[in-house]
Amino acid sequence: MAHHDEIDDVQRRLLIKMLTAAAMAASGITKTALAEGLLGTVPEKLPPGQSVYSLVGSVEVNGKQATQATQIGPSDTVKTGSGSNAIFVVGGHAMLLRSNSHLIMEAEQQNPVIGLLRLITGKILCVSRDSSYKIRTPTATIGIRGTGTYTEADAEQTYFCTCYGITDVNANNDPASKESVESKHHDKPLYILGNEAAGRNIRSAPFINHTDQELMLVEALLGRTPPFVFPDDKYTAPRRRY
Amino acid sequence: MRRHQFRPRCAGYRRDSITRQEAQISLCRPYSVLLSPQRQKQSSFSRLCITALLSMLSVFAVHVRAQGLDGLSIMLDGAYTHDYNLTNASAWDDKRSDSAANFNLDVGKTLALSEHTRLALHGLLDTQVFANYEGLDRLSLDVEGEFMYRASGEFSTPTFGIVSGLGRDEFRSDLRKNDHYFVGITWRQPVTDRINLYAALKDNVSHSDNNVFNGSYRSAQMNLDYGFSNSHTLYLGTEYRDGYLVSSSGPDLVYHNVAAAWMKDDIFTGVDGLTDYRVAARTWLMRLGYNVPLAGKSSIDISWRVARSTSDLAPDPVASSIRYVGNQLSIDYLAGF
Repeated sequence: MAHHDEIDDVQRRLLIKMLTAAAMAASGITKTALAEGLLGTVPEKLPPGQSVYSLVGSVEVNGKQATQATQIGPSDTVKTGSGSNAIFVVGGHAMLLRSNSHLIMEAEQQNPVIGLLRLITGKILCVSRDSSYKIRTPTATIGIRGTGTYTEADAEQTYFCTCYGITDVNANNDPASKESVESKHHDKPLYILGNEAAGRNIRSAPFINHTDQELMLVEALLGRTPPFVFPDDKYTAPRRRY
Repeated sequence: MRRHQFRPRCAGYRRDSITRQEAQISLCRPYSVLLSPQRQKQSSFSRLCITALLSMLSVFAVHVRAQGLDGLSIMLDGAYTHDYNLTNASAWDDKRSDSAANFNLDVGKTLALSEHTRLALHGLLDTQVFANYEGLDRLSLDVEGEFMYRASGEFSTPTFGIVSGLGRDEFRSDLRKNDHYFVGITWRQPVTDRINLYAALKDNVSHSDNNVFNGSYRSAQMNLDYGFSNSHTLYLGTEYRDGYLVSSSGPDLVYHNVAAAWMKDDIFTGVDGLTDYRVAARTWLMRLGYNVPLAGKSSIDISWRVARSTSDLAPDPVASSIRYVGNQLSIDYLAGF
């Protein structure tokens, strides 16, 4: 019995340590959840006059800290800090701007609608319908004809996925590198590079860093649904099966 | 008076080690009791499952013939699991602990049947290797199919499904080998931009060369996923099972009042060997887990599982039902391709 008591004691101490660690982890998780809005919200069409659906962390609009009440227009600049993101609507566009991003919007001349999205750096998911506009990054210019897209940009390369719809992809430094993409469901992600040989600055890419659930969310903010019915879980991180 | 232990029957998902161990206990034929109506029920149930799977595989074969094997999804799962009460025993003398390594290969193919329906097929190869109790080492092969319906692409639209699967468990010990089947209905519901629900009702059956494992149980399952903005996921799952379980204990007469059959276990042997009993019982399973995505479509998953079983019958009129509680910690590395 003494032997069992010793083992029991060891296991009891181990259990206490595990429970303490679990309590600390749960505390951290709860704080994060509270900071982000504990239960989340059901995404639906934003009422007129409301631009922001959600803000996490540090988000600036035209150099000022954004709030839920901030109005975002088609000529504004949006910046997100580390660990931050913003989901917002501008006209007929709904966007999810991830952390460490710098987005400058330019309106069309004589029209208060977005004509150009300049993604200096960062990552953006954007949906729109019935409008033509362009996305410009340091290495690419992409013509959009009302669709869903995901873009990641830095000084060296651009990642671009036509989630659905039609786009015209051009490398900024290479007129020979251009491609039209017609996609139903993330059919042809691309890398657009800046310093490769002529005609070789557009390359196939894997699917990365965005999900169908996110597309459904931003479409819902405009009162629409994406052209697919089933979200595909192969675009999310692998999970153990239920 | 001895305390007792229960082991929920094994069926369905192969990674479920708490339930897995029940399939690793078996009874000798001389002690087994099995009524013919149950065998008849299992036989018709097997036909139902096999018919459903064959129908799904036929659709799959037609699709593959038309479109080839493009779009296969492959997931590898390597896990370390430590069970602090491997035998799920209440009595201290009956407790054993061990660590196990798991390797799982899941090959999936989703077929779009129409705009609103699709068929998800999975082939699963699963191995489990124990550090000490080598007799529990296992190799499993399963196939599953789920027919799903979703009315629209709106965010909050639920997805309904009919799911069926069958498989084979091969253990080092012949006594533990079994075939298993299940059929059920599923429901997936996005609740908010952070919360997703999954629920399922299933009927599970397994066959082995001994009667104790020729059992069945019905299960109701609910899982809640909570997503953080950094793509981490906290999940809580619970499952209720009602049916026959295999319970293990040191030799104990009180079990004879509630068990349909019993035999000496062939893994936990020796002077303090255990006896396995086939008992009607209810089981609650709970799992709390946290999933952290990593670069390159991979993730780390940490989970804690608890199982609690209670026998339907008490050993005698003045005694309470027999109960057991077991818990388990798992760490998985998952990679998708």
